[in-house]
Amino acid sequence: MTNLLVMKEYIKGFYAKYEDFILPVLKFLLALILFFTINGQLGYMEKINSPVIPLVSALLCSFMPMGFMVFLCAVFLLAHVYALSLECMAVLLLAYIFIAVVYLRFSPKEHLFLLLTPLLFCWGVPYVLPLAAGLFGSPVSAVPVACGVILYYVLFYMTGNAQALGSTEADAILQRFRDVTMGIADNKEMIITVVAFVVTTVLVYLIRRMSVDYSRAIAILVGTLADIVILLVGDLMYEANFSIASVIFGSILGALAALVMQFFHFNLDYLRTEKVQFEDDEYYYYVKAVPKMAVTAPEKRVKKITTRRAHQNARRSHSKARAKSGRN
Amino acid sequence: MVNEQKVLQMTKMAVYESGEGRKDKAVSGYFRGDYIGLQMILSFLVITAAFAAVAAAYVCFNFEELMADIYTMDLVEMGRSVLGAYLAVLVVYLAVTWLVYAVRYNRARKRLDTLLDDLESLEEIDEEI
Repeated sequence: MTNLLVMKEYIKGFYAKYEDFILPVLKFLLALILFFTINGQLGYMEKINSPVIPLVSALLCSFMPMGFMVFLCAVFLLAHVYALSLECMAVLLLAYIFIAVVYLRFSPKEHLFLLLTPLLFCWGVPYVLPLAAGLFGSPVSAVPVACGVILYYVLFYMTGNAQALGSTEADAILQRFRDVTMGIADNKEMIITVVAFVVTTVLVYLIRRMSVDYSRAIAILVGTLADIVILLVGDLMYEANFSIASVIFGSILGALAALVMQFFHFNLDYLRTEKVQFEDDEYYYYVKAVPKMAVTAPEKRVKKITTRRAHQNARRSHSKARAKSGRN
Repeated sequence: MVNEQKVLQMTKMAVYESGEGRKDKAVSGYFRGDYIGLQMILSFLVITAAFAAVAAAYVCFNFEELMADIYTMDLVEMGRSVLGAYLAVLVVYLAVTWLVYAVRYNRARKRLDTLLDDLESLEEIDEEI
């Protein structure tokens, strides 16, 4: 455990020291993964499929705010869906309007949840997200998570029916628009997942705020159970197509990931190395405030005990004791 | 000579001012009513555009039925129900906007009040010196 704590402190220290470089690199990697995943999963527009465009876009994202990454992802998705069919683009725009009204209008800081939700769905491990949102965010974090779930299922429907939607010989445009909208609105799996994730996020947040020991671990446990129960009960009630094994194993995996994240969690705002300039009547101050290390690495002292030295020490102490007793 | 306590105090204030303080100052540049009013106007525009888009999508969705019934349906009644739905959505959305931005404004003011308190304590340190 001490080793883990030391490792955590080392990571904190490393992050504090090289924050100026680490943050853009992490943003670059996230953007690169997102753009390549979008191109890999959709990939209907050939022009943006070449690796150069995602690479340049990711570079731009590395030094821009997170909102820019959300914007570029939206543009990538829209371009691919436009290449698939015009009706799909209209439906995706409706989804964007929904996200803008309920989430972006209130200018939140939780773009990461919105970006990661569809990505983790693609990787098959989405169950960690409501836990992470409840642990590190606020109840409002449920909104970007829910938006991410809706976005994923909209895109999932389009990629799943790409052949039918892409063919120009099919029904009229309005009929296809109707089919796509109905197909997405009737997706019970999506609605159950949204409900499960929102409830889990709020529940985890409420429990982790309670003043009891191990509140965060309890929150993860209760949140995972609630998530599993809602998904399975929803599946039974509305006959959605959840794979029970993947829900249970995915949730357990999510809980383990949340525990690891919880251990290594540190408040980035508090930790940041601050460089500020100010002045008073007498001085100009250029201050660099570096966060303190809480746990120091244990110093290792190796004591060498040789038989000869030990023998000499024993003889010396023995002769001292004898001399004392002789004097007495 | 440099006073350590003063430097600590000033550093904390400068950290706040260079981060969250910048946004808070922009918020507190408005009167409370003006700030919330501006946000409600923006929300009004957003929700109106969104409602128009959803209404257009609804028309596309039910285009054939609407075209078939256009001569028989009561257009005034339909207009009333659409207006009613719009007003209901608008009221709910504006209420949420009011709540969110009122809380945001109060929090910003509270943080700026703390900054003012810090400034006063800084003056006290100066007087002690």
